[in-house]
Amino acid sequence: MRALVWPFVERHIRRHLPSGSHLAVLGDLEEDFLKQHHRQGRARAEVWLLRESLSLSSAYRFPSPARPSRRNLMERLGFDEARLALRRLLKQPGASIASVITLACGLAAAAATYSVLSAVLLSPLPVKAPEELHVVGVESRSRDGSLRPAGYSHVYPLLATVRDSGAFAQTAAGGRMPLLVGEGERPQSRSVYFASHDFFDTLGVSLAFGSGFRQENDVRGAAPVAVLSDRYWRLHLGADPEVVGRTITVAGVPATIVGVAPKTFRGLSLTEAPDLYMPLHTLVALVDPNMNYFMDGTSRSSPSSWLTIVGRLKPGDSAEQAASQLTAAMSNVPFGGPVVLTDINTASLPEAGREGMRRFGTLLATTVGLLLLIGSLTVGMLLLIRTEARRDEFAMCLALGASRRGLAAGVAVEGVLLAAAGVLLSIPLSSSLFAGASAFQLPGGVALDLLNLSTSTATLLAAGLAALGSSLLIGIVAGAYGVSANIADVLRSRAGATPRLARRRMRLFLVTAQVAVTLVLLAGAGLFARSLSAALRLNPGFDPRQVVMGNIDLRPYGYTPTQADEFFTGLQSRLRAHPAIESASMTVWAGGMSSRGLLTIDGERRSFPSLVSYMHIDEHYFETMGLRIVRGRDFTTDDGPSAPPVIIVSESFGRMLANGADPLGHVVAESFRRIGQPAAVVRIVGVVPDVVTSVAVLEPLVIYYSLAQRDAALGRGIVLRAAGDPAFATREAMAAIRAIDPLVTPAPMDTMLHRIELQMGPQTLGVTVLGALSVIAVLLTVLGTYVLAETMAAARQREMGIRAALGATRRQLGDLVLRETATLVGVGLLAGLGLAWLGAGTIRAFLFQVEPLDAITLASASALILTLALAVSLRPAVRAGRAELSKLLREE
Amino acid sequence: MITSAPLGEFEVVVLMAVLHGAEGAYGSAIRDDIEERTGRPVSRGAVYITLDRLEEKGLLSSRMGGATAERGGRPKRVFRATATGLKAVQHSVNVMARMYKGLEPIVGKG
Repeated sequence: MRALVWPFVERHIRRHLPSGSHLAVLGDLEEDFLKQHHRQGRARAEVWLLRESLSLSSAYRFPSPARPSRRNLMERLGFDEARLALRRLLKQPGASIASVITLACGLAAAAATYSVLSAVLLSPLPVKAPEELHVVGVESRSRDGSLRPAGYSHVYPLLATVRDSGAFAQTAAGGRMPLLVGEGERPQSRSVYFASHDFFDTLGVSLAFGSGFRQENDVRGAAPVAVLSDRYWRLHLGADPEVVGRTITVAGVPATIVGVAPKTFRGLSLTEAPDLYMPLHTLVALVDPNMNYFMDGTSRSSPSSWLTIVGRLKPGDSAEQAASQLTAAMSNVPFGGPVVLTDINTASLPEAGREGMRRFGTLLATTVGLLLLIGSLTVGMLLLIRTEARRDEFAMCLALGASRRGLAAGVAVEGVLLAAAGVLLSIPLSSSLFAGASAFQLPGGVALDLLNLSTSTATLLAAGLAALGSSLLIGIVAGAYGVSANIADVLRSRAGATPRLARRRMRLFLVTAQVAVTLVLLAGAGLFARSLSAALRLNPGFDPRQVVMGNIDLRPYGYTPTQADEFFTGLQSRLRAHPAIESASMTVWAGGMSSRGLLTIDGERRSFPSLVSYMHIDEHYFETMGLRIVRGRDFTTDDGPSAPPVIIVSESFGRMLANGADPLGHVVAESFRRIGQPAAVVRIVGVVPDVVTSVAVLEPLVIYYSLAQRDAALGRGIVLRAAGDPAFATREAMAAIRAIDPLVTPAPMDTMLHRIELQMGPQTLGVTVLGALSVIAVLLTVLGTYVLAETMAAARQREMGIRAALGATRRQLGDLVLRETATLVGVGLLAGLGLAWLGAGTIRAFLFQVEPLDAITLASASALILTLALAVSLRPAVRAGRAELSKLLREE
Repeated sequence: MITSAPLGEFEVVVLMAVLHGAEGAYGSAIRDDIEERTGRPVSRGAVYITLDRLEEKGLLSSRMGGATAERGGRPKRVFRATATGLKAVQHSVNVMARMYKGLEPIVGKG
């Protein structure tokens, strides 16, 4: 019978014992193992064999007359140095802990940043050979004949055109719809991606399990099947391994689960992570029948553009070749046009967010670099101060014959220990960073939560090795500085000479660098905070904290317009009667006219610089929002369905429309018309203040219609003004909806302030990250300044005593210490201003209504650092002022 | 190489165990014999290293033989005391006896 651990034992013996004795020793061990096995049983015999082989190798490795003691073994393995270094570090726990925490923060932030950037910029989509995959964009001509930027949502027939063109080796398509998916009793709105049957195949994505859908599933009328996303499977189906074959209700229709997508696959866009994937053609049975998704000739509705088409290039083809082939194929096709191909990774980020994301990546990487720099500087500072304190000891050791290399190694080991502790602490820190960051959004609306981020071991290991390496280097420098001490120097300083400046230069440099980096971080945090505060002050006319907004769409629940009207009327009266709700209003957002369209004002066709929104509101809307009518009047009960149509406009729209004059009385012809009817002409009867809901549009152009003058709609917006806590009002509103129909589950409601906050995701993240980092940086800088002032004051006691004896006052002596601190911090601040100037370009894109070199922010940050540095230098300054030569001489 | 350096206690014990084993003394058997006779645990490494050292001093000689299935077909390293080894044991025993002489009343009281 062979021992389970035998391979290990054999390898171990062959490695550590002289080659001539291997066979006999292994034979003895095997023979004895059998005896042990009979005597004690297998498990104990295995342990016995393991111990026996280890003790045997140990005896051969350390063949001292006596068995090596544990202490000797530690020494031989180099642990003794580590033990001593640990003991030295624990003597000053505060400084050691500060270093470890700073390093750990830097490492965790570095690992987290790398993971975010890697997920968004470096390798966003886990598809096979992404360079071959391209998303089809089609340019169209505007009325004046110019080409509009390419659109990436297409009408259904274009898929066949792309397939038939033969430009791609494989073509797939899909589009996303929010649908109600049943989980237990209450259906929830989930993102469903309707994909062609060859979608996963074209992308080269293999399902985690299940067969996926086939061609026969992807036809109109086929029984619905679904592939779940990994996230949905884990969160809502408890990662059930037997999930394939189960059914799930989508928009009230049962669908059989046929697979689960791999964990890394989150769809084609980083801003949307579908919960379910279903066959393209089964869409008909599940969504609004009034929408003409397949461009059917029989449908009364106009065709919908909703498909994203993606193709894999043929081997050896370039994207240009494929694009020109596609352009030729689309030249005579409705909705066709010149084709632009965008590689799938670039297309995964919304066009508007791409540049912002790149800049944000630079900013994040710079910030993390600065934090790591501060961490390294702190470790360097700590080691240097400790080495400084041990210079006398080093000089003595050297004079007594110790090796410089050995002494320097001791200091280097301290550095490595600090870094190792930092690496260990950074592991849980990076996990909590991801948990905390999941609430933020990146530029382009990429929600961190959907990226399924986790720190890869390789990333953390690389960052850890870098930190270990740099700490070792700093340790060696500090060690080399320490062992450069000579006994004559030490004896001279014992005789009372002031330490030479050369010795202090390194520390002065480190503190100056710390001050510079701290100023950059602090000013950065300040600038982000000012941007955020400017964004949150965008609506001075009312309090956006109390205004809660939400949407209810009754279409998926099978409501008729009359039933929907009853539902909304009932809800309105319930909400208005609730004590937690001060006021409630219903709205219908009816789209708008883009900046490319024309609007007829007083008979003249005009275009406007941004989207003109059409809002249908009831008579309580302005009261609920807290908006007062600036000019003219509000809607009244007289503005009924049969009355002449009237509108109220936003101040910005009114100003532009009337070129600064009074907009009241002007008439607007709508840009859309019903078939067979002339465009409705509406008259402006009132003007209200602007309501900024998007930080990108500071002059919102809104036309408000009376809800009573429009057709009933199955979906409405709800606006509430909370009487007290908005969260409580939101909960009560949800309860009121459920009380009318328990099945209706609207999308989450949110305060207007939070909606604006969400748009400022990068700035909020910036304030949080830079704010936290600058607090650490300020603390470390203050600590560094204090230690420097304290050690200098202690080292110059004799000099101060002589000055006092020569007639210097206490104040003059104290000023000497304070002036030194002020000069040092001043130089650091100047260096920091230089760094801020260099980084201005990077941060500019993220600032809102504030300049990167904002004088107030920079001055406040500088003043804060200087004040804190001077405050902590007061104690050493007072001590210096109290120096008395006679007392010093007596002490010596 | 024959050495005149005096033997340590453990070296003498190992030499004697080899002698007890007659023609069949090998690593494990020697160790078992020592543990049985002295009543104290002995590390395998110490036995092997001492055997190597005694062979190096010319007090022992070894040959390979006696491979069995229990040993995975591996041979034993069988030890035999050389003439010098026998003399060294004799010498050590004599030294001990001479040193002991006259101590009986004291040690006996022990």
